[in-house]
Amino acid sequence: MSLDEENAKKVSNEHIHSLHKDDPLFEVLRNTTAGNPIMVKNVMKQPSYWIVPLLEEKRIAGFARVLLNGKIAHLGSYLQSSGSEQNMAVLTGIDSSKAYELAGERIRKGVEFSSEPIFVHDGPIGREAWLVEVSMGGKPNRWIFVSGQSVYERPAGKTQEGIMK
Amino acid sequence: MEFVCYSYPKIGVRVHLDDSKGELRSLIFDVASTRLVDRFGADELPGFASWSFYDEIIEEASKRVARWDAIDEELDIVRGKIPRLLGPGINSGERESIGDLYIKLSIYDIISVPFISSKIVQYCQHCSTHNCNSLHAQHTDVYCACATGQMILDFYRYYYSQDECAIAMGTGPFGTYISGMLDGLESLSKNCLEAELDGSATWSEAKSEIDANRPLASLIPNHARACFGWKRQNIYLVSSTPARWLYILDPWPWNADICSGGAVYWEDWSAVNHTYFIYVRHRSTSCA
Repeated sequence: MSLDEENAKKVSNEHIHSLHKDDPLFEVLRNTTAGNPIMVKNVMKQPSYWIVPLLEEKRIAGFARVLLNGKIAHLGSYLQSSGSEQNMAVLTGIDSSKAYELAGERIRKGVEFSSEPIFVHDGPIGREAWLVEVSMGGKPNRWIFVSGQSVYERPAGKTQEGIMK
Repeated sequence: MEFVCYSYPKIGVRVHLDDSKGELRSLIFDVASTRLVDRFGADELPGFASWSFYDEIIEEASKRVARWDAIDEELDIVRGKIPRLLGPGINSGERESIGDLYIKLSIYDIISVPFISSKIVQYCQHCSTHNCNSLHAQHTDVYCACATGQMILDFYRYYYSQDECAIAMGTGPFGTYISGMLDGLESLSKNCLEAELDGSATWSEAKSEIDANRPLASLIPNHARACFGWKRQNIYLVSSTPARWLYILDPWPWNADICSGGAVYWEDWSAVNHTYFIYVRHRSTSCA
């Protein structure tokens, strides 16, 4: 089963108003409704889950991470969650164009070529960042990750292993 | 005195006592070791704890009788509306009517078991207390273990910056090894806390720690977070698995201002691969 955008919204709405509806820890989510989901891919660029903004009127009050089998992995709120519906950077840390700009500072112009940013989880569910793949001579060479204002990188195709970040 | 099976297949001797206030108490001693059994409940870690399978599944007899009577009463009402209820050939429209009737009867009002149970680590275990946790973002993109350690050490009133945690944990430019996190937690507490790694993390183990009012570190592949609570669905369909969650303080997304990042959420236990727990407890022997 692969959950589409509409069903990710539907599942989130059902979840907020059933299993967690009386949770005092998430009173802030009680009157929320699900907004437009954002697809989160794995570093191999395969769809992995949806992150769904939970909106109270136009304000992003929380989020749900919905797996493609319809299961809600996480339901919660950010420490800083005052973004508006239009400011989806609350969910992604930074918007796509800014991520591209920051990654661009590490790219050798004319020698390397970069892909459009893809929103991925670098490792476990929830550890999200923008991925810009850098190619040289037609082959993927480096992965540049942008999370908030932080930029880090590693050789393309290499997953994180053995150490906690 | 009587023989009891206090944790199948373990046998004990139950001794009934009158205490100084005239109240009846009982103690259970293991027959093999004669040790007093002082932990109770199926949610305790496996081993030396007394629990009863029947206690887990059977509610008080009077409540069961009350529920039985209420169901009989409901059935009579429904049968009054749809006389053919128990006969053959009931149609789909009639079936929907039965559903509506049940909703009107508020069948769930008579079930005394709460739909959801939960517990969050508290400041203390006396009087009316409050939840005791504070979410911190990781200060850099590789400081998850430092931020997680900081949140747990704060709970025990050992206050350190994440840079100090990083030094103690041997954090490098690519992150922290588990062994470093264990060593750091102990050394930062002047060895008054002990950090124990559990390589076969289960939800029940996390629950036991929280029930003992201790936060723990929950490790997932390449990432560390703090766990300060549990939640469980008590009523569910027989063929399904009850939903269980952990209350996670995740230091990601990182932020140079540790008070302006991170996320707090209920994590569905079955949706995420939990690799390790780190339990942080007061050392039972002297510090040092």
